[in-house]
Amino acid sequence: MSSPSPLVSPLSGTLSTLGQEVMKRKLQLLSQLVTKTTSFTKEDIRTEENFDIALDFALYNLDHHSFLDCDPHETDGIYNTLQRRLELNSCLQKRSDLCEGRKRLRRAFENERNEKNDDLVQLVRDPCHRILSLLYWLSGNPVNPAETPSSTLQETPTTTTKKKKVEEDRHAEAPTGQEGKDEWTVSDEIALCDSASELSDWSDDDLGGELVDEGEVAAERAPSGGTGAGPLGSPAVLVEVEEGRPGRGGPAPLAGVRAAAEASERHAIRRHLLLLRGDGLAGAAEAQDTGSSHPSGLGGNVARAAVALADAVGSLRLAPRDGLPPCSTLSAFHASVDRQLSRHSSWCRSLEERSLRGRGGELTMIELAGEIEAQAASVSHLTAAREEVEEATRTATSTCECAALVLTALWRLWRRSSLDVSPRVGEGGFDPARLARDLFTSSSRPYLRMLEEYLNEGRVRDPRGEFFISSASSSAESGQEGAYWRQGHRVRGPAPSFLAAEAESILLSGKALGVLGARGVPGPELRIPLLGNEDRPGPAEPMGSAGEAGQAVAGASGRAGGVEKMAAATEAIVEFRWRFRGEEGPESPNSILCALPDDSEPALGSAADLRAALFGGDRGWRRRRPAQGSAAGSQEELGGEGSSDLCPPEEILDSLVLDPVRTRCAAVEHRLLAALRSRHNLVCQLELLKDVYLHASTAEIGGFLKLAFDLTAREGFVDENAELSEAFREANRRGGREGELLSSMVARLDSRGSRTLAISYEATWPLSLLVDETSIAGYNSVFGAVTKALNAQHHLQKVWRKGRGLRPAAVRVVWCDQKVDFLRRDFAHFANAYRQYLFDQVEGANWRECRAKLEAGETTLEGLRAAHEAFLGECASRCLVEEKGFARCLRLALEFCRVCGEMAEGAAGAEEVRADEWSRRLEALRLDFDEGRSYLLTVLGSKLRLGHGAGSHLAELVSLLRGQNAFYDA
Amino acid sequence: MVAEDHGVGERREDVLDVAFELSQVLDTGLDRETLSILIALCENGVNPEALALVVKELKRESQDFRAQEYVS
Repeated sequence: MSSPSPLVSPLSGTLSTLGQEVMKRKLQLLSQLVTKTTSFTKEDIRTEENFDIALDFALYNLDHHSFLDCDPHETDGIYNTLQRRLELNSCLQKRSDLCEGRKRLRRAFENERNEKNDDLVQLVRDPCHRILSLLYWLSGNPVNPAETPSSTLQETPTTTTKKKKVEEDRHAEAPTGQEGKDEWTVSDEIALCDSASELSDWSDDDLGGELVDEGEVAAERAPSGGTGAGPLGSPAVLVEVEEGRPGRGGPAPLAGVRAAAEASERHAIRRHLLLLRGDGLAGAAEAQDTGSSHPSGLGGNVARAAVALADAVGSLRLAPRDGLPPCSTLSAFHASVDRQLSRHSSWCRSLEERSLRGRGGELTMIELAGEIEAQAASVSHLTAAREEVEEATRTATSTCECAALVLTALWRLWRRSSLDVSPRVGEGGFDPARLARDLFTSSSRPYLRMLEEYLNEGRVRDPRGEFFISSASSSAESGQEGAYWRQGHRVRGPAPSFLAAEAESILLSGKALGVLGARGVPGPELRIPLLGNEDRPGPAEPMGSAGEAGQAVAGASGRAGGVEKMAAATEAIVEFRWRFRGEEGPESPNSILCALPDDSEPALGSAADLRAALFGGDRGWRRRRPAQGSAAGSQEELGGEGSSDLCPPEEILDSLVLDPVRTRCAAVEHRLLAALRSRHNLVCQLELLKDVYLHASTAEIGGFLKLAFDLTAREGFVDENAELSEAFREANRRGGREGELLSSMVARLDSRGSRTLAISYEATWPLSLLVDETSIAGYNSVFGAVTKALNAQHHLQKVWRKGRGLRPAAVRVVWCDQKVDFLRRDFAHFANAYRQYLFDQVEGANWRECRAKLEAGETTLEGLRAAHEAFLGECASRCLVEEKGFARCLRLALEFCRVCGEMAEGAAGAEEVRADEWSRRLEALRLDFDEGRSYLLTVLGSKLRLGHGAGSHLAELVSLLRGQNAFYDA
Repeated sequence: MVAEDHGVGERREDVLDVAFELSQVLDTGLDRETLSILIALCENGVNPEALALVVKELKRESQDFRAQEYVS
């Protein structure tokens, strides 16, 4: 079988025979390869056996290997790394050739694919990258700048054998530590390229490590003064360069070349510095195009990075977006960005000074690359912060909302940045948390000043309406506290997220200060420590300071257990990302929280977990307090220049802002409560309210109730003429001590049930702080039950007073006086028992305990409200037991009184006609009452057995009802 | 058909030329004919890394063999 050209694709058969063809073709090609590489042939009888062995070896290893399939991205990656390394080692021609060769190879395969020749069906995907991968893994030491391609080509087996022999000899002479150094391997390449932090060492290693070793070895082997090619094929120029290195002894024949190279590098650095300042933007495109062949070696990447950095800084310098409301917080943010940019300018100037005057050590291209990389990271973060703020304020419709959104966005950015453990932080070039903290601190200053003023004076000068509370310009006048409390301070818009939890306390404090007067609050005025941290002029350093966070992370991980701790941190990050469904985005300024949706603020607990895993410490992060607890000390420790970046933002904000605010709010509230108790007699007013509603026991209310019961007993009474209110006012006029409170009450019929009384009341300040509409509804519920019992008692007493003898004689035949009296007594006893029960339950509902809390026990207004509501709720739950059942029995009592009244009025005539009807109605009333009372006893007994009531009040009620029943039954 | 084969051959030559230049830049030490064999093997689905390893091994064994012959 004739061997076809290896350049022709073998894929010419039909698909059914394709596999066989491919196998056959592989075998042929491998045979040729074995022959080419080993010189063994099948035809030569001396080498036939070796040929078979070699072929079997090749076949087996190609069929049973463990390498992954060729990945184009990986191939491109290793070539890019190789190109970068060539650039670093000044192998610019090689780098250019390699770059051009890759392009041409790719183009050649693309042309082939575009022609779509059916005869050339490709068996494998992406053969271009396969070939590139093959060449890479077969490559020698391309980084060696002195080695020319021709020197390694076309080696004959003989020279190779000789070289091997010499190589063996050299190995025998060389120290053991040098073994393996003479041959560049792929693993060496990977090890070098994997570590970005060793970038600056590469060139030294290549020139001073491998090459020096080879140079020394070559010098050993070379004949004296010989300048020809060494036995390894190392070119003579390599030996010459190594001999000419400063400090190596001997003459320096290439000193001029080195000086020229250094001058060229300085020139390139200055050119890049011009690009950094934006002065060379016109030449940016040129720099990008020709960078790869720039004599400085690093030119291409550095120039592109410089141009990109200058562009980013230029876009940051652009004017802010129009259309936003005038907002000092937003202005402060832009000023903060400008301040960071001025630091960038200082950094540029410092680099120029180093480049021109050598201050701080002469600047090398590699150092410049590192500086630009770190600065680009900070500018990138700054850009992200600005974009985030602009995105947040896009929907702002008012100045207040705009300020809140800006601060919320910056606060969120700070919290997220504090958890950033991306590699560039670890490299020590940039601290995003520091930058975010600076931005937040500077931008929040105007807002926090307003907060400070508001909590000190009870009002705030806020012409733009930025603060979340709008306040009256003056304090409350005496007697006008209620209106001032309601209208003097209003919530204008949302508060920043970090203040949201304290917003209500702040508003309450502002109102209290307005009512009490700012001078009425003892203790020092509020001073927010965060405001004391005035801006310092930025030193000539990269934005956001350098390296502390990275060192801190490394230090913390080392202290906390080294590798294990970092593993735990990694797990924590994975867990954190999973919990918030975040996806990692390499370009994001926040490597951990990059993909968090804007509305998903990480929970404090989760952030604390993550931080504890990252930086050590327990989950709760024990705050380090200064010994004396002063604000200045706290500021110095937590927010000062030397503060640890490990301190969480929540802790810094707590110590420097929220804790002082809470302390001030608590002092104001304490003073307010004291004034309510002493000056405004809050407890006395509440007690009077209890007497009116729950006991109906004051003299005035008692007089009114009798009138009201008589009025409501009239047939068809609807209170059209507000007779109840007039009666109530009349009763109040006769009253004394409670006149002021009672005058604001209005008696009416309850809308829920006919003939049920209720009292409308809108509590005045300061009672309105505790008593609202819901409370009055609760009071009226109990009041309704009390007045029903009192109403029945009132009418039963009237029946009793009328006495016997008024009844018609015919009725007496059916219903003797004694039976009527018994029924009246039954009703009266029932009403008395219920009334007594209600009175006892109100007293038993821990009024004393409630009063103690109102007088001194509670230190917050919320506590007072809770104590009052607890008392009222307890009263309602105790009094309103089986309310319908009791109401039914009490209605029967009123009906009985009505029948008795009718009998008294009708005694004069026609009694024979109506006697039967009255007798029947009395009998029916008796039966209904017995049934209703039995029902109540059954239900209450069941509840008592099942444990309802949680106390003795139900048992008391049952015993009252049963006792009465047993007495009369007996 | 012959013309098409001729065109394919030309394109193959182009690929080989470029690959050979790259091979020289990377100091692989391959000659043109060996490289054409290796390219053909790659196009037949052989894993490039495994192939590179095989080539290196064959070269190394061959050198050892020749060295022993030279000594003896």
